[in-house]
Amino acid sequence: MRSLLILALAWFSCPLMSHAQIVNIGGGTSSIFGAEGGSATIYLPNSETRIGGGLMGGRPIFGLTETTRLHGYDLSAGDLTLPASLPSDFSGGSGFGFYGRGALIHEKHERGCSDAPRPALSRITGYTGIHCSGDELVVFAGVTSQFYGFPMTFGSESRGHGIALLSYERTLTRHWMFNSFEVASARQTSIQSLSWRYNDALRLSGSAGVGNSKPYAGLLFDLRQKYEVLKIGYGRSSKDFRLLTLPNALLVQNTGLSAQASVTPYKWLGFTGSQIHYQTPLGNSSLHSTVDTFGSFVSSRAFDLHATDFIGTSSGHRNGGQEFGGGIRLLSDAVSIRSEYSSSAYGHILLNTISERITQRFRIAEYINTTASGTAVNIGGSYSGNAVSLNLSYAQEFFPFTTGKNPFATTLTASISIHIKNASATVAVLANPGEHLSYSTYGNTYAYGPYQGNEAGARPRSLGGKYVVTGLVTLPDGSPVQGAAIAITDRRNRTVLVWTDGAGRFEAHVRSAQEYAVAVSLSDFTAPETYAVRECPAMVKASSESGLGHEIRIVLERRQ
Amino acid sequence: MKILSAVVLLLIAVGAAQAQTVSPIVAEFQAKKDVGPTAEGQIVVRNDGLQPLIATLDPMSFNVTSGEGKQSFYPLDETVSVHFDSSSAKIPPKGEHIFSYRATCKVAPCWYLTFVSMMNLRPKGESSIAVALHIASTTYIYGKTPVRKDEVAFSWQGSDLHVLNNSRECVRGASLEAHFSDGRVQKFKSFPMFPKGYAGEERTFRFSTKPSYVTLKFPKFTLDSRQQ
Repeated sequence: MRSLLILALAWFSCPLMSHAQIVNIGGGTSSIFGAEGGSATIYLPNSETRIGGGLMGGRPIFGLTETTRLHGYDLSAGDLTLPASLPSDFSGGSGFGFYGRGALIHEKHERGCSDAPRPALSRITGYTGIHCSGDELVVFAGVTSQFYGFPMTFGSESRGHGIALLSYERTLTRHWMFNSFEVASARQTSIQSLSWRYNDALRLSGSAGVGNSKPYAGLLFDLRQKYEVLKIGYGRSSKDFRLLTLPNALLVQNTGLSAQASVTPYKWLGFTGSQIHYQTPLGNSSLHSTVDTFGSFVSSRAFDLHATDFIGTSSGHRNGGQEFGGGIRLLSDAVSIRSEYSSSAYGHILLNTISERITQRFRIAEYINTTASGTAVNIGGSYSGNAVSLNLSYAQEFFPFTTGKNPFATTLTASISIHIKNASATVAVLANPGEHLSYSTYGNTYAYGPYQGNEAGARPRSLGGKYVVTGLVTLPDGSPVQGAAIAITDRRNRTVLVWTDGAGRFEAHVRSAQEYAVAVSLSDFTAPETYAVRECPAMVKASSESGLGHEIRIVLERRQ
Repeated sequence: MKILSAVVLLLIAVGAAQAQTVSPIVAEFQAKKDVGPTAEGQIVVRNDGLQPLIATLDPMSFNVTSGEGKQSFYPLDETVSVHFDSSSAKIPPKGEHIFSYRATCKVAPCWYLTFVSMMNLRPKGESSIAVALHIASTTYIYGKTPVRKDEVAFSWQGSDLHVLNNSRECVRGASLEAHFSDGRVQKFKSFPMFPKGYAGEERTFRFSTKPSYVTLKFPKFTLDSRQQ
């Protein structure tokens, strides 16, 4: 089966790849998602093709998406993400959507976007701070599908119903906006919305119509001031209301009265609170869930304190707890000390973290985790380099719909990412208490067609160190050459490639004060003209970083 | 064929040049007791395009003229020294590169900017068009004593607002809001004010009509013309 999948992928990809300018190829396996496979994205000047395939839980999955732009319209075919949100949705800002397999036409005329998140807004999770006004049209015809998206591949299964969708948004005046959401299927959806907006600070939206042939009405009041944010939503619908009929319960709808508020009377003091009701389709009925959150914080440059009370209710089961925490930052953030305490009816967790910055790129951390069953001490840390990134950390998470056990859990995440040339590879490990260690490993690389950048001979790497080779690259008349590539090679034949700046200068960091071979790498120039080397020293001795007067001079001449 | 090559290249080059970012755009540091005016930081260059890019760093000194606040750039002043762990790098598609630096000044306050030039590798064979994108990351290293409220003054000359920094420190105005009688609000964001005796110690904001009042926000204090 795996061989068949690979053959199918290759068959689809080959004709496209032979004409492609840029191809991204990736693949991997994951026990976190129970999936393995690969994908390829083929970029042509005016279109993009994405092909994915693999196995999920032992079942084969396959995906194909083609997008092209024609006369101002985006035309797509294959596996697509489709909009399914109403302006009156309480959590609509997070962009609800569903998946379908078919053909889509999309047109958007943006008249203006604002991106001015106010301090109080940043306290609300999920707020993006971006709003664009204008007209937008989405037309789709096809079938609903179950989509699987992973870092290494994607695919879908068309298990749903045939549908036709029309979503239309029109800015009527400076303050008024109209939306229409229509779905024709075995059951009908037709919901119309009207919104009134004032200076991005106040928004009122109302929606009404039928979804899945059942009535629905919703209202939303959204006030965003500098120090206060207040959001109140009310949805009324019957139990078997659906925005549209889907094979799986992906669309969660807010129902009843939901509210979210945040007040920051001072920069250093804030209060947040929310009660949000969710209705999740479950077969022929619905699952009602509620999440209540009440919290406050005090913060300054040097320290912060916070306290939050969580309550999650699902199918009549109630679970909740409290979390308190705080931290101090010392020596310009070189040392940070944090304590996080969470308590519920099922026990408590105290997680103390001490983190030290060793260098700008490297931090280490000690975790002291105390629960009813004992105390554990762990070491973690992170390194963010340009070739390698490492992270090992512990965090306390709240799982709101957990029943019969502590909703707080300490999770361990570890990851390593390696970047070589245009390729990257990542291995990530996740450990939840009481569960097996799960992992994901995946990688991808870019390949280029005949019109793309010259990849031959490019060996950018750092030899590191406190010594330096510096130089100046000019034309015979003394004018600098920007974008000239210079290769510096040590006795062990390791080469670092550097480029000149606008003043024609280059700088290569090396480990010792030995002599290095210098060469001009003409094939790696970014400069558009063609050059020949007139003068270039064969060897150069590195000097200490603070040393002066060791700059070598390279002279080039232009070729016709 | 050559024309087709140039068109294809231009399309891709424009696409690639639209999606590069440099952060931070402004970095601020305070001189410390034991090490003096020193800054240790990082400049992150992100390539959101589909082609690899070459990024080169070029630190330069700059001044801002008094009045209109026009910037002028010149080679790095001898009193400022900037060391990068690498001054050029090849950044993979959808990737980023972190340049670490250590900057030292003989006297505080001091300031400089780093021009990040991003260029595509030259294509094979065919003649090409060079597309370079330049984005600046500005670094300010302040002295140990922050500017006080009474050290910044403003005055009106007709409808022009003059703001003067009387301190020996550099201060960056976070914002200026001019409120007009018809309800309009005009905003200016992030303007540096250099120490007394330097070009840029004074800034002029020109308005078509004199505002009812203005508020000037600085990191540690706010000035309001209604309280003058």
